[in-house]
Amino acid sequence: MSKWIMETQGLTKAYRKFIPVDQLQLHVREGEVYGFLGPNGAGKTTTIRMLLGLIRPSAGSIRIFDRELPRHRSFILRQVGSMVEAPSYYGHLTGRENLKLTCTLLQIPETEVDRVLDIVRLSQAQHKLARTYSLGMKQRLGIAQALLGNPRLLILDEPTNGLDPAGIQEIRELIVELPRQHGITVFISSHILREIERVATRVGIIHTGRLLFEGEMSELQRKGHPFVQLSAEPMQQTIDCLRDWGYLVEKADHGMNIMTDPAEASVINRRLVSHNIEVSHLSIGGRSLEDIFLEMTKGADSL
Amino acid sequence: MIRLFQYELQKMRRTRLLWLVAIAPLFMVFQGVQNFIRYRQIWTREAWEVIMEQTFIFYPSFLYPLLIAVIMAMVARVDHVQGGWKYMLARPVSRSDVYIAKLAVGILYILISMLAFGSSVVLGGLVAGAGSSIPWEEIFRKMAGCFLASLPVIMIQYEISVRFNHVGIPLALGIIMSVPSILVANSEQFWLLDPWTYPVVLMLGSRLGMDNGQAGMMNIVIVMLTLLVFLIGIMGFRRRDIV
Amino acid sequence: MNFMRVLYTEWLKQRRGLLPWIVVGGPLMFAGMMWVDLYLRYSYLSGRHPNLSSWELLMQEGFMIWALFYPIGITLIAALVHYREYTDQGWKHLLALPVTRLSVYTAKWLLIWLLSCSAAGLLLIFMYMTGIILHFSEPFPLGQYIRYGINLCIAALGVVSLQHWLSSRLANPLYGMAIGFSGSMGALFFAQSEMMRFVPYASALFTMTVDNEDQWLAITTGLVAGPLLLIAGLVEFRQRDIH
Repeated sequence: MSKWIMETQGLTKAYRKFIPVDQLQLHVREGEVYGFLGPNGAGKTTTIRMLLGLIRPSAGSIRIFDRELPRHRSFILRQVGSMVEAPSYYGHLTGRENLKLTCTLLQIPETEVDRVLDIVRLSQAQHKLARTYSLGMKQRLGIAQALLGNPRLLILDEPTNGLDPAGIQEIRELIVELPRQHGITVFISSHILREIERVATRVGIIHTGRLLFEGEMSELQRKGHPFVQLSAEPMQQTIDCLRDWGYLVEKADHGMNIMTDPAEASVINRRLVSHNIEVSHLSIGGRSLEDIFLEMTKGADSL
Repeated sequence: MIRLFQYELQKMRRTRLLWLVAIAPLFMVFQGVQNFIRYRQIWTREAWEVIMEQTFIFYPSFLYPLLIAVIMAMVARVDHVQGGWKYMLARPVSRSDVYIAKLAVGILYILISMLAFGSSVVLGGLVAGAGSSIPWEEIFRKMAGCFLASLPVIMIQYEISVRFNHVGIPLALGIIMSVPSILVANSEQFWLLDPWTYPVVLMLGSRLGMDNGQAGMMNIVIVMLTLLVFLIGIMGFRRRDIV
Repeated sequence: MNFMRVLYTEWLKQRRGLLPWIVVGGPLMFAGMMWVDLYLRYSYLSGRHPNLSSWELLMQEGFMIWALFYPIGITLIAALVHYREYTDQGWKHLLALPVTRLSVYTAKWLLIWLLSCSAAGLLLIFMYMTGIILHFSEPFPLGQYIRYGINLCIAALGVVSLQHWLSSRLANPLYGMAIGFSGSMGALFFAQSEMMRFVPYASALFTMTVDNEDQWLAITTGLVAGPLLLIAGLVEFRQRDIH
């Protein structure tokens, strides 16, 4: 029994002129949100299409639910929901009809339609033609389709593409509650790091077809050498206190930077306050995920 | 499979293909019947024979192959637009089943159009007062023959429509390949090269003075070509990368 | 000038597409068929029409069928010129550019017409070659053929305007094509009626320059219907809401 719900070994797709995916080793644990990161053109979509059996790999293997993909395609896909790139839909049918169609295809009861419409909040617009939907609604329809049949694994390719901040937040909340409330594992690809940072527990970074990094989100964040930013009065006294307690403190524009794990922030705060120090600003600083990412993908060996 | 067939059929809702398929044949019939009425005095033959002749003139060579092209293009287009292929094929359905189900839907529409044509011929003749001795058997035989003779064309149009995203390709092919079928009556050997001419040849068989050898040849080509295109098509569909 | 630039870009859009194949392939296929036909039937035909030269026979044999397929070809050309607007975002992206709707509509119209004329011109050339290959003894009646070509170009005007408007209006290219096909197939019927012979789809039937007194029909219809329908379509296009 593999501990991974989905894994790939040496997954490769090669055309005559170029190789979009090269020896990819992905590992996804059950019940987590896995963020598949990479700039545009890095090979994310090709990888996802291979995971769904739309494209044949040139080499390597894919195991989902502990079965090999090409052989057990039917069994696997029955429990996988997906949305690849732009949501696919039949414009000349209503939202509800689109979903009913998928129910017919998958042989699942029509009650599923109401359930997923509720989850993505499209119940109001279900009787309108799909081609009249706004971009956000189309996106939600795509996710609704993916949710039909209560899949164990959800594969989403750029689900927040073209959404406004409100839409992005809705999708984000949805994605986060899926493992929690429904036990669904989510594999989500994006090039928007900030969004992935907020939902993913594990991350895989792909660049020009190769996997640069795979690990826990916290591990990635730690690469940014985060620290605690503090503004407090009286400043010099604060710095002395902190240094006495063994912290490495540097002066900065806004006040000071404490070079320690951000988890310590609340402890520091409590101690300072109990010493009658006015803490006016406390936050986490460090290199942003974008910076880490850019550095990684520039080939700099910061691993 | 039945389920898939229903699924494909449902996809065609609101495409108005049904209207198209039912109305287009009426055109031909209308013309034929009008001709019949207009030159009523001149006809020396049986009324129904004339009706048949006048309505069937351009049907097998012109309207029918074009209808096949349009129907198959429509059936495929529903999925070419808005990523329908990845909608379906990233799901636990067998690709072969999908290929066959869509083909079946296309053929269904073709049969419906033939039905529309046949019934409007009958109706038109009756309205024009051609009498009550409706040649049911002959009409049925002609249409059945047309259908069977056009199997290779049906298969080719379907495969081309599915394989290529561009809707113009199967149509341009269908149009250009239909061109010779008008003049096929005049060339004894070359018609075999163009499967689009088979329905016409079958229609005019007796008048062409076609011998049994050629008829047999045609039947063989029909069966083999249809099977060949089907196999190539379905295998290609199964293996193809959906990008 | 804005218009010229739009026309040029429309032309560029077509360069590596299907259109060149149709504009060249159609007439080529047709001429090939004519070659076969005359090759086999020459003696019979010249017996029936002893007063006509070989070249005139060639034109007479082919013009009716060409007249049926020409509007079909124009339908296809019009559909392809609008291809970008059927896929992608439709008209949105083209009209969001700093070009007037007037120039866009008329540029596309002109392109369709010029392509149709090219097809007619190529037909003349291929027919000439056919005659040469068949070793026609008489000299080539350039004037007669050129007038035929010009007649065709003028007769095309009506169909061009119609199909251009239909293709711009109907989102599914197959619908516009279906209308065009039906109209073309009704050409013979239209031509025989006193009133309906002015329908643009029938115009090409009157373009022949061998013993044909009705050439004025094709010319009049083309010169009247063409610009009229163009303007009507333009007016509608300008005030249309683009979704």
